[in-house]
Amino acid sequence: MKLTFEPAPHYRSPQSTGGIMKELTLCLCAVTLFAVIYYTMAFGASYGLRVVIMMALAVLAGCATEAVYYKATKQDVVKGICSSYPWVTAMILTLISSIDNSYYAIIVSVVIAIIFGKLVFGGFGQNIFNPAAFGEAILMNSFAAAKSADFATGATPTQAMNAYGWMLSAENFGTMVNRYGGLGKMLLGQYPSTIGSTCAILILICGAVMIYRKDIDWQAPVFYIGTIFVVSLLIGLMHGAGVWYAVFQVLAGGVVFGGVFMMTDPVTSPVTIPGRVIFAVGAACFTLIFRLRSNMADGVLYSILLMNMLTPAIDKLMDGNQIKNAAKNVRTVLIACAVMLVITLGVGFIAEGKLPAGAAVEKTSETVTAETAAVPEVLYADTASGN
Amino acid sequence: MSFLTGPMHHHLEGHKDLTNHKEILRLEEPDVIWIPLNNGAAPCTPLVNVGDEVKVGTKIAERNDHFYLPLFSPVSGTVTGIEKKMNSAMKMVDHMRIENDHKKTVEKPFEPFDYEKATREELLDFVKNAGMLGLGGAGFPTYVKYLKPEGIKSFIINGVECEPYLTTDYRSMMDNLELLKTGVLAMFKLSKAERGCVAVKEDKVDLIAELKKTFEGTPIEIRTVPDIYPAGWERTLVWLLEQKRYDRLPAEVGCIINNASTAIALADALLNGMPVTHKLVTVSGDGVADPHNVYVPVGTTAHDIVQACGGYTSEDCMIIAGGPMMGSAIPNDTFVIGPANNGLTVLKHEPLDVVKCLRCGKCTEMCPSGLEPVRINNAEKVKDIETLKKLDTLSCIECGLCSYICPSKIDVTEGIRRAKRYLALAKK
Repeated sequence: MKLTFEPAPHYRSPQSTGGIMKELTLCLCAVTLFAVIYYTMAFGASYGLRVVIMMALAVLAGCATEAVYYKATKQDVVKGICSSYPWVTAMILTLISSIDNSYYAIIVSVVIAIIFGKLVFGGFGQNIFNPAAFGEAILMNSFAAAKSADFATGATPTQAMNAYGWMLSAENFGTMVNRYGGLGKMLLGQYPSTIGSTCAILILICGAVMIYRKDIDWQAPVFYIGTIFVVSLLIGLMHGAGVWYAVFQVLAGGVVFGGVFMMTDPVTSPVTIPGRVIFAVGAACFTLIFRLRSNMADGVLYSILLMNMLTPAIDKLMDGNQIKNAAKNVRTVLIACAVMLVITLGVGFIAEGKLPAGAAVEKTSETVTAETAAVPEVLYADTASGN
Repeated sequence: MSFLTGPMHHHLEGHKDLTNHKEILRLEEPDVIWIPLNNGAAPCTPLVNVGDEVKVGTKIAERNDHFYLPLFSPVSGTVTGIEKKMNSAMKMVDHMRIENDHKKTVEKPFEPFDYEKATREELLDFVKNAGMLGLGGAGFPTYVKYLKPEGIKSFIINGVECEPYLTTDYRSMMDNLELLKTGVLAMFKLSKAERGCVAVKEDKVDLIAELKKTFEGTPIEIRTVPDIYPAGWERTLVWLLEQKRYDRLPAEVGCIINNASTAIALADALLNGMPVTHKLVTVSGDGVADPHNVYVPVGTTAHDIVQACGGYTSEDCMIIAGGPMMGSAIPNDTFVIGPANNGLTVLKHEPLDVVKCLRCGKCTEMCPSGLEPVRINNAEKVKDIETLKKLDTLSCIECGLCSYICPSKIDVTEGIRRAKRYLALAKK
């Protein structure tokens, strides 16, 4: 008979980090499955198979990298991998890359993401940048030429919109978005973009389930997607665009996927709720500014990386007793958000479409399939990188 | 406001049905009892000598520093020594050893008292001399709370009992409704408050109905709070009932709070002239064979009580003085039940699978004091005093919710305890 001493409390919640990661992994699997089905139906079995192989290689590369690391540092390999979750990084990285990336490029990016995005900082829980976003940035910048031309799927909505400077008249917008089957098809994910970021409705369901299961917080996705919607609605109004403009801003590119799966990465986002609100609103503002003013097709990735960088500063800003500092924290959040929103609205105000006045977007009769996927030269010239 | 601060509480599975409707187990009184000669951190001076005969109710010791608190013998017999023993707070303190003669001869230390006819000051003196103390676990002398009634608006009887497993307050209230009424009304008179209430959890439907019947026609309201932890902590309770926050004492916002069992003990003293000599103790958890509420004299060892409840169910158990959230596990069962103890939780010991912190911030959202346990833990690791102060570390009440909620199973609360100790050392 032994009476053991342990510090109080002696009562623990049934929820575990392993459980959270398991449910996150299941959600990522659901998104992957959708991608496999969509690519198989729209482009053929070889495309669907490619998604599976890319995903498998990425996960293997991620786990192998960590295995080597734990072996080299004389730690328990299985326990190390099971409490570091490298497959999550690998899966997210694959889901935010496009299908024409070479296998080689994906593997190298995952290895770099795991080593330089995570392990050098001290492993899980210590990394500054979202490792998947870090790896994707490497992939976009270093492997832009390593594309497999056999798997071209045509310009994505963000690339197309970026070519027009994210400003179009209602009529031209209609023509452009019709290439993808309209906003409804975009909501259902029936269009080519990065592998996993298309099906907004599925991703939102995953997000809702994870919020309900308390795997992720609700503040980051709601404030991120909400800010993008509201601010682009206002920017659209300044330029005579309707609600469709804001809906397109939310549905196109990585906004929904990033909001649900990347903004909510607890390791790289602030620990306090007011901190997370600033984090999400800031990322939303950067996303819109990058879209409107930069050459990148989509600003989601870099906006997340930028806000990751600011996370320690935001945490420091919010340090202290949350009850005694409640009024101060509210003030800080309001001021920080107001400044960012005003800047973004200002950028939106001076934004101009790149389409010459009076010109119309070229019509293409069919929606995108493997046959019609040839990318117009003009788009590639403008969007050297990625999604 | 709670939108930016998080819920600051959490519903816990209470496991209260293990004991709340079971008959109370009255133990054979032990042959030897030990009375811990302390009240909180303060020592109590013995008033009898080794070899003296004592009776049930004999005043045997008193605390007499800036507060006054007498201690009374729970049994009749002979004082056979004063020994250092570990108490339920794991401190080595003097215990008075009394050999029980099992005759149960009583010596009433004071006369029954009619609180309705007495003045407030006389009643306050009675409370002081009857050794009334906070039976919710703190053991704070009751009269002190009522010394300055100026500005008190709201009088609250705390019957929330938010620790999992514990059911003594529930059981005591259900079984002693008339005593509760007398005690509450006497305290209400002491408080000079404008309004008074008994607060219980909303899921205790049967108790609420009984209380409403009992307190009909009195100025005392029955109010309910949600089934959350730590609804029974003074600050959270005042927030739930009055929507007020205070800095140090609830009197700052016009509130005075006492435990329901304390009110019952006061009524017992008023009507029967008997101080706190016996305690109702919840013995519960998966580590004990037959969970029960047991009625024992103060000074009974945990070992005797657990054996009376069928003994341990596993070779590796934890015995906890109090509930599992705030009570500490004690590496032996020779400690005794003091006047302020109300529970023994016995759990099978299962080692936790601890993984790294993922900075999810759940501890910050749950903290009822509004702290950031994860940031305090990180600052403690690098002994960053300035940050620890900025993070208001000393406001932690060690309620344990941060460790409970941590998905990585880290001992977050223990990290904060280390930080508090470190700050205390650095001050010296």
